[in-house]
Amino acid sequence: MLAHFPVLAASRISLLADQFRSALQQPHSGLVLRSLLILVAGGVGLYLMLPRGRHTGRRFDRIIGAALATLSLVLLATVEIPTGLAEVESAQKTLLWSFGSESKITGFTFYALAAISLVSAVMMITSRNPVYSALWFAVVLLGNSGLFLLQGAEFLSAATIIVYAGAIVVTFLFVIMLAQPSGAAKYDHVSREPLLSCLTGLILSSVLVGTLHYSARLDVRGGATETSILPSAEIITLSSTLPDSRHRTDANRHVAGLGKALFLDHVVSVEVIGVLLLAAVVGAMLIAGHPVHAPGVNETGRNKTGRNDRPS
Amino acid sequence: MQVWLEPLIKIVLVVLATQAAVAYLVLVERKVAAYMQDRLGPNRVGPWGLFQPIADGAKFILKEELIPAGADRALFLIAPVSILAAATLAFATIPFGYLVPWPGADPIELTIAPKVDIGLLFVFAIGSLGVYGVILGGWASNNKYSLLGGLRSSAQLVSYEIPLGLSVIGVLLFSGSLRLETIITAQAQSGWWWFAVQPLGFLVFMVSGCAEASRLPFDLPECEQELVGGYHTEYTAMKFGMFAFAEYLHLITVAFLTVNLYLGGWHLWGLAPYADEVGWFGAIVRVLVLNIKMLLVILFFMWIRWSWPRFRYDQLMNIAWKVMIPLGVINLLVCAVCQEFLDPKNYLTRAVLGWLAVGGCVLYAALFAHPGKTRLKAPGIT
Repeated sequence: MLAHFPVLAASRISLLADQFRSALQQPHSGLVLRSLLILVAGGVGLYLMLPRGRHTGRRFDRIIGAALATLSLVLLATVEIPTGLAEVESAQKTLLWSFGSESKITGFTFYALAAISLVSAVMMITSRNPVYSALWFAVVLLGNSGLFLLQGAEFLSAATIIVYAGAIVVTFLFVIMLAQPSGAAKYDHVSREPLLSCLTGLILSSVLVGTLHYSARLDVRGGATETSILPSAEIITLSSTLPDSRHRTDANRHVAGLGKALFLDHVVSVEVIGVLLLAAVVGAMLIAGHPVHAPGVNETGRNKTGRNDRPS
Repeated sequence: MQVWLEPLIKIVLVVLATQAAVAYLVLVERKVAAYMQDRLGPNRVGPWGLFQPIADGAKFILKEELIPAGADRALFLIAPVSILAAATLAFATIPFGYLVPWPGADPIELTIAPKVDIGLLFVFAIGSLGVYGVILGGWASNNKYSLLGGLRSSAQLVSYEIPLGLSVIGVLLFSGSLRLETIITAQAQSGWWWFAVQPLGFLVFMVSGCAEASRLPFDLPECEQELVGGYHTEYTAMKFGMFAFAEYLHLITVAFLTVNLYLGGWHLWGLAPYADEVGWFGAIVRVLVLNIKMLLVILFFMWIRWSWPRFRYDQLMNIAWKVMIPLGVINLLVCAVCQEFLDPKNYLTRAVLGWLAVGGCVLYAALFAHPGKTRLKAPGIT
C-alpha cells in the first residue's frame, strides 16, 4: 500500500499541474492572476499590521502594512469583472462603478459602504484595545447593513442592526468593560496565529475572486445559469439601481414576501430554531440561577455573628 | 432633480422642527414642574420666560469644556455625538402628517422616507444603537460612578427593548404592515384606535417607551442620590447638552410612535370626511391633529414624571422581565386568537376580549401577586 503512494501522489500532482495549465489558458486567467497578486499584497499588509508576539512595538511595520493593504484595496476595485451579459457589459466594464452608469449615487454609496466595512474590519482585528475592537465590529455591521439596504434587503439590514449591533456587540462591550476596567490585559496585545489566519483568509478570498471570474466565463459561454453563481441579467439590472420604493406595489412587498417564505416554505426550520433558542435560554437560566453559597453565609442570609447581611 | 430635492427639504424641516421642539420642551417641562409644585417657573427671560431656551442654549455653548484626565478622548467625544445621531436618524420613517397636494405631481407624503417597508423596524433598529452612547460615555469618562451608571442604564435600555418589541406585534397583526402610514390608515378605516382594542399592549408600550426614553420613574441613569449624574457625570457644556438633547428626542420619538401606533395618528372621528381628501385644508388639519396628539402624550409623560417616585433598580428589572414581558405575551396571544377566529371587521368583540384580558390580569395581580415581597438578590445571598 505504502509503495504505491509516491506513484499516486505523482499522478495527482501532475493532474493538478495539468489543471493549472489549462486554467491559465482560460480567457480571464490574466485577470485572475492579477487579482490574486493584489490579494497576496493585501494579505502581507494585513500580516504586518497584526499585533504579533515581540514585534508589537514596531510602528514601521504597521505603517507599511497599512499602506500595502490600502493599495491592494484600491487596486482590487479597478480589476475588471466580466459579467458576460451583453446589456450590462457596456455599463459595467470594471468593478469600479460596476453598478451602472445611470446611477452614480448608487455606485458611490456602494463603494463608500464597502470601504467602511473593509477598513473597519481591518481595524477590528488589528487594534490592541478590545473595546475598540468591539466598536469597530459594530461599524462593520453598520456598513454591512447599509449594503443590504442598497440591495433592497430591508428586513435583513434592520435585523442585522437589531440583533448584532444592538444586542451582541453590546454584550461584548459589557463583558469587556466589567472584566478589565483598568485597560487591556496582556494577552489582548497579541493576536493568536497571525500567519495562519492571514493565509486562511488569503486562500478563502482567492477562491472567492477566482470563482467570481470563472463563473462569469461560464455565463458568457452558454448562458449556463445553473452552474453560475452570478445572478442572471434580470436580477443584476434590478439590484443595480437603488430599490425604488416609490413604485413598489403591494404585490412585491418585501416583508410580506419574506414572511410567506419563512412561514410557508420553511415553517419547520423556523419552529425548530425557535425551540432550540428556547432550550438555550432555559439552559442559561439553569446555569446562572444556581445559588452560590459564600462562606459564612447560610440559607437565611445571616452570617455567623447573627447580623443580617441582606440588604433591605 | 426632484428625486433628491424632496427628501432634502423634508430632512431639513424635520431636523429644524425637532431641534426647536426640544429647546421649548425643556421650558414646557420646567413650567409643568412649577405648576405641579405650585411655583412660577422660569419667568425672567422674555414674557412668561419664553426666551429661556435661547439663554439655555447660549449657556451650553459658552460654558467651559472639560475632558477629565485619564479619559479616553476619542470615545469621550464620540459618545454624545453617536447618541444624538441615532436619536435624530430615527425620525426617517416616522410620519408627521399624511399627504400634501403638489401641483402637477403625485401628492407628497409627509415622511422623510415614505414607503420603506420596514418603517417601524427601522425606528427600533436605530433606537437600539442609542445604547452605544450610554455605554461609551460611561466607560470613557474614567470615573467609577460614570461606568456604573453607564452599565446600569444600558442594561435597562436593552431589557426594555424586549417588551417594547413584544407590545407592538399585536398592532402589526391587526394592521398587516410594518409601515407606520399603513398602520394609521388601518385605524382610520376601521374607526377604532388600537389602544381601545389592545389596552394591554398599549400599557406595555407606554411603560417600556417611558423606560426607553429614560423618563422619571425609570430615570436611573441619572439617579443623583446614588450615582451623581450617571454616565454623563463628567460631561460639561455642549457635550452634556447633546446628551440632554438626545433624551428629549427619544421622548418625542416615543410620543410619535404612541400616537401613530395606538392613538390613530392623524385620524379624528369628527374630521372623518377629510380622511381621504387630498387638499390643502385636509393636509393641514391632519398635520395639526397628529402633532397636537403628540404634544398631549408628551404632557402626559411630564405629568407622570412629577407624580411617581423613582423605582429601585431591582424593581425596575423585575417590572421589565417579570411583569411587562408576560403582559406582552398575553396581549400577543389575545390578538392572535382574535385575528385567527374573528371576522376581520368585528372590532367590538376584539375590544371586549382585550379589556377582559386586562381585567383578568388585574384579578390575578390582586389575588396571587405579592409586590411587597420582592427583595434585592445578589449572588451569594439567597
